[in-house]
Amino acid sequence: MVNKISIQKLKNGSQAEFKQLVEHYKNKVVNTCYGFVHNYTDAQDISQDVFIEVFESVGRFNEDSLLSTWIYRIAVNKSLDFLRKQKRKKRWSELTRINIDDRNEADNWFTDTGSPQLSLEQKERVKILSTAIDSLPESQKSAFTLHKYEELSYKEISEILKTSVSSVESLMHRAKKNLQKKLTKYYLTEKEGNNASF
Amino acid sequence: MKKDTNIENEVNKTLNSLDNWQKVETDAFFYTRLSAQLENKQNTTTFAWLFDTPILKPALIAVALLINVLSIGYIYYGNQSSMGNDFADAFSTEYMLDQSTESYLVINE
Repeated sequence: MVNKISIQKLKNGSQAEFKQLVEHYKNKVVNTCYGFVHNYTDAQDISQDVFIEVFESVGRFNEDSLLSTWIYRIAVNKSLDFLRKQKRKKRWSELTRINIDDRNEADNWFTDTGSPQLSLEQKERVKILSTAIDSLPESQKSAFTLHKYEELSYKEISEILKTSVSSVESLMHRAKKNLQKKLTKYYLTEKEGNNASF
Repeated sequence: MKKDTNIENEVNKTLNSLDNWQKVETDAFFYTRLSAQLENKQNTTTFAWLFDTPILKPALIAVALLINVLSIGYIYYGNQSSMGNDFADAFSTEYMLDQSTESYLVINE
């Protein structure tokens, strides 16, 4: 657990303390980023940016929230920035008809690391759900991802997103409803034999 | 309207697919790469203050604009003076004012 003293040491630029912080939070951060971008390599790169930001701006951290909340907030913002940039790139590549970076994104963690023991069917379901989550509005996506991937409570999510617990409840409710609608439409289209997409 | 229970099942299974989610972890060299990146950043920021200083920003922009204006001016006036030469050459050829014409006139006398 990172306590107040270590925050002071971090503010003084202690490398040892920073290493301890990275070791403590790196898996939480990379898992959060993965929940947004669904690509293992991108999630690792964004996590690196998150810790660089933490190192550079810890001096401005005013301790009005927990250190973990602050780090999660940076991870969410960096991931959303990454998705916005990717969307812009995609739009531009559609305009110029150049295919960039057409990866099978949701597969990467399973195939690259081969770690989780999930069945092929389960992998396919996670992939479909990830694509559906991608099509949600940013606020719903953030709440749903933090809850499902990091198993954070509504209170923790409300502190990260700087909103009230009731707002998070509402965001989660709308996210689930939207996902249900999107998935129903997806499976109906697939049943009709058409190419289903979100 | 009768609900399609098969599709409903599929939707529920997909929505619950993250329930057994095994969390993603970083690779073994995460901190090594991070510290290398930080070191690189610190080395490259030696001259970064030049661009980060608020007072110097407008000055640098002004210098860049001046260089652009001078370059455009040089190209424009350079071309215009060469155009003037071209015109003079064409004029002297048209009215046979060059040296070869003079010598031709002398022979005819």
